[in-house]
Amino acid sequence: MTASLAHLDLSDDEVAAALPAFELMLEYFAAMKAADEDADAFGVSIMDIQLSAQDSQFGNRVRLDLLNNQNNNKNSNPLSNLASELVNRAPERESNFIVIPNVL
Amino acid sequence: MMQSVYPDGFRAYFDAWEARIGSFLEYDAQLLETAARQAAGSSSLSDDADVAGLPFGVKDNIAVAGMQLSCGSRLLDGFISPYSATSVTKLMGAGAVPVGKMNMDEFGMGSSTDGSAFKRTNNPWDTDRVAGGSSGGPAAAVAAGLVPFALGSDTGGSVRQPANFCGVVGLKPTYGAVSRFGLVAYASSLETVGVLADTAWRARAAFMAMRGQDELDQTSAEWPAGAPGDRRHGGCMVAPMTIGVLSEGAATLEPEVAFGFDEAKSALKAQGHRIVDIELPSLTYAVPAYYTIATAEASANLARFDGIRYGNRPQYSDNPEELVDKTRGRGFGDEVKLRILLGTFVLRSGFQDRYYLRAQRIRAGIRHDFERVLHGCDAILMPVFPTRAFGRGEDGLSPFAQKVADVFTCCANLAGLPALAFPTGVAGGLPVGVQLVGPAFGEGALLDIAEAYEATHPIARPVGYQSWWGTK
Amino acid sequence: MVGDEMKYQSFIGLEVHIHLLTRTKAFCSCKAAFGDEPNTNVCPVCMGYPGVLPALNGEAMRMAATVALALDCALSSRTWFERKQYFYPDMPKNYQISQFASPVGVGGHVDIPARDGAVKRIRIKECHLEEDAGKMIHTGTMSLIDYNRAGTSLLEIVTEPDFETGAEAEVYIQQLRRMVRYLGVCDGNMEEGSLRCDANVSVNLSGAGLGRKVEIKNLNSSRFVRLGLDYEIERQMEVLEKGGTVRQETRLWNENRDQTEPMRSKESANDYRFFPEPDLPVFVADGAFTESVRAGLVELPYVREHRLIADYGLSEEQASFICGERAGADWFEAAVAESIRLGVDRSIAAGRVAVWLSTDVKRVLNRDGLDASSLAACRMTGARMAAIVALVATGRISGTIARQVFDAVLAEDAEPIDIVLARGWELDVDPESIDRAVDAAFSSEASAVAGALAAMSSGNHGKARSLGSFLVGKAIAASGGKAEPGLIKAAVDRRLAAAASHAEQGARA
Repeated sequence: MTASLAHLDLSDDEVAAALPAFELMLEYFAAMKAADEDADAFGVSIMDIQLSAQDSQFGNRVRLDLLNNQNNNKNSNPLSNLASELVNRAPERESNFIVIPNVL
Repeated sequence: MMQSVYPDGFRAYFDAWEARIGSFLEYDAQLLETAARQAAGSSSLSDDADVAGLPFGVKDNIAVAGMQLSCGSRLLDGFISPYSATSVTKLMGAGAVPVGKMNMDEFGMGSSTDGSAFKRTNNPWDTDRVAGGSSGGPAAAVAAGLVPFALGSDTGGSVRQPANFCGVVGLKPTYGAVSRFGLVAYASSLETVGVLADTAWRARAAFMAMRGQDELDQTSAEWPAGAPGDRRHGGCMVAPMTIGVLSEGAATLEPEVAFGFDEAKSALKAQGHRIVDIELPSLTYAVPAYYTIATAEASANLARFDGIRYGNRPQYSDNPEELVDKTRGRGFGDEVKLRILLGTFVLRSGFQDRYYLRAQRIRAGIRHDFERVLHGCDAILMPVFPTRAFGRGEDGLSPFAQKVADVFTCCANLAGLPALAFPTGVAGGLPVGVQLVGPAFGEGALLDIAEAYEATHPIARPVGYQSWWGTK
Repeated sequence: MVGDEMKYQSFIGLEVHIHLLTRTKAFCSCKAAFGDEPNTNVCPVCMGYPGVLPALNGEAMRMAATVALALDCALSSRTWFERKQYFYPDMPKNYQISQFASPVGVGGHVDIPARDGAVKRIRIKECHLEEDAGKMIHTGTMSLIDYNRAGTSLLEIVTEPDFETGAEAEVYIQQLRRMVRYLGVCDGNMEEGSLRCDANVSVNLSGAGLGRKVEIKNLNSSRFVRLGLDYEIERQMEVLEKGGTVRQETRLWNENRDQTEPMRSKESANDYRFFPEPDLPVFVADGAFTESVRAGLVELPYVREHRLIADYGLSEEQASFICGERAGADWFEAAVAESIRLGVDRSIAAGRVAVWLSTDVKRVLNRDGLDASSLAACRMTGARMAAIVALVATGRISGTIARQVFDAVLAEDAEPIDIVLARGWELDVDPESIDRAVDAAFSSEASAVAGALAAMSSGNHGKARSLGSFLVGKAIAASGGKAEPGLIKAAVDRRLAAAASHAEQGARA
């Protein structure tokens, strides 16, 4: 099921071939379990740690809601005006849409 | 000290070396020759860390507008980037010139660069051996003197290990010190853009030019004023520091590496630094935690490669799902597929607690362990990799063994701390070196120590090396 | 009809997505607009190119927090984004940046009018910020993808399964739509997809707890929300009545067939594998942020309705109508305030403006294909409306004339007083013209005068009054409609009273 979620087009043979390396890594990962009780290794019990996204060290990082051409320095944003370049890189396109076989 | 050089000879020099090491995937010969000529013509370089006029190579997972961005993968073969990475733009703003894209392990996953879909990069010291990975191209090119410095990426050691294998300086900055915008993401919370350079001074110059907060990367940080050792002392002099050394090895070292490590330790002591023994017991868990987090983030970061908006897709497919599967099935190499499978797995509901969440907790614990140690010293001295550059086939290291060996490098990524690998000698014909890990934004102190070391122990170069770029 | 309705309980939870009116997208600086040429409002970030990173739009976060507070949610002091992973062609990164463990707001509520005039509390579970996907058009052999919409800001509002009927859901949607329009964060246009509603419906035996959930999609109007959910409840009841079990699935509302149908495409169960977004740091909603968001909150529609009833003595119906659009309510209050300033009594002013709004103003808006949201730009400003109301209230113009003034203001974009003066529409209050008019009426209608006097002396007040009114009408007509009716009436009454006592005196003499 993991293979299908990953969308790698692995045949049954290929999955079988990848399995040993995969399982070897998972076995290796299993060593992490001991960390739950090993507070000495870290100086703190890891079970007490609250997880979240990374904290910003210097206050909230937000972008101003300004369109590219409203910024004073046009050169500062390398992303503006690239739309046509991006569409040109699409393997298949039609009237400026990007094309794929019918989704059904 | 500038060596007398013949600019016309540079092209021949470059071609000869490239034929042996194969570090570039794409390069602009014109730009290189122009830069070489300029470097020859200019008088001794100023003290102000200057990169003006210098050419630099860019690992092929860092964007340069108008150049390819293959990431060492068939899937992106032929893809030309429409924009440049912020680190590249800043270096260009300081006058440096990107001259080519460099070979690497596919999507940054590997420790040899043999994982590239296109070609192998050989170690300039012994072409039967690997250049290290995943930034093997940058390391080899700098070691051969083809460019004075190059940009790489370091997710678990990918700048430092190849630097160590090829005998050049490799800097992994503090997480967030350099913008990640333009670096094709492998493991977002672990990686940084790094520098490989012919000297510590050069590494510092490049680093200072590219660091700083970027609007396009909200995880990037403002470089704090008054960061430790941020002022350059001029190389030879450095205030004595307290350097913590791992008393118990987290891995068995090759005798040459162990010997080289001890020698470096003694040399640092002789220079006036205070050496103390330290312990990092959390290192036991570092590699599994690192690979759990890295593969998890990679599985999400690489999901965008589906052949729909860009990239190489099969000529014909019945439906979109087939299109996506075939694009990825044909475009990705085995190691990449393995890591995507692992990453997908460790995030699956029902398994996340056991793997991913536990790994994140371990990571926080490792950070804590490092902070604890760094309270008592200015830097930590560690090996970079248990072996020198390894060979191929039977003389090589299995993929699994290569991963386990990441223990000394991946911990700095997990903790988000700066780390500097620099060469300390040659043993058995191959470079050996060490690594310094410092507190957040402590790059300056690490570079000071390395520069001072270099002043009394000049970096060895491979046979046939010639310096074209001038050095202070 | 399925048996005894009390036998079963229905549970509906709604997930509403609102498209936030930010200028740029949620995580990049592309224009967040609709209707442009395909793939023109795109950049490497929203197209999922290699090497790019998202950058949070501060305005999207502020708008999200505004809605959260308006829904009485608690703002999470630390909120962050997560990657929701699944592959689909309209998803540039094949994961959506959304929220999971710590959304912007949690634990709010909305009160809706329920049956029998009661109020029902709908609990808001959470609301979170996320990015929208691109749009696909399907032709015979191909599917065409436009990424203009990819990366635009969405706020998802999730309720607990507190609704029981389609009607309740419909009211909630209407109220929510009105609220987000008031806040200026969303235009609430369901047909265009600015406000989308999905539902989770389950039916079970009363007291047996929640049943098996069925997801209903494609409810793209408030009316379809009601019809679709009522249909689904019926359908599930029937299944249970027959002894079957409801299949847990996703169904689409088919508006042509008036029924819900299972989705055709095989949607394999998705494991979204949420994990915190490493490219975006935690957003701290500290005191300063919360205060600034609160300061930006406008008076909410429900609250405003109640205040208008209390402050101005309006009926519930009037208040509800006035508060349909914020621009309408603002216009109303401006007109009333100005009327009061011009000397009109408070509740009279409110009542009059309310009537104007629901008659002539509404007529004109409908004629031009507009609604109350256009009132701010209308030629009939609140101030001009107040001027007309004041002119009528002070007796300077008649009600009939007022309507002509109204039309003239719109046609000529002029001030009411200028129009009245230019056309000489002001009512005459000059005592001499009043007397002249009454004289004219009395002389031409002598028999009516005599009749009125006779009725007065014989005590027939009813007849006296009606003949008096008749005379008033004639006098007004004699003035060409220009005389102030109140003064005419007073003069007629005076003359009649004087004539009656004179006659009495004469009789006694």
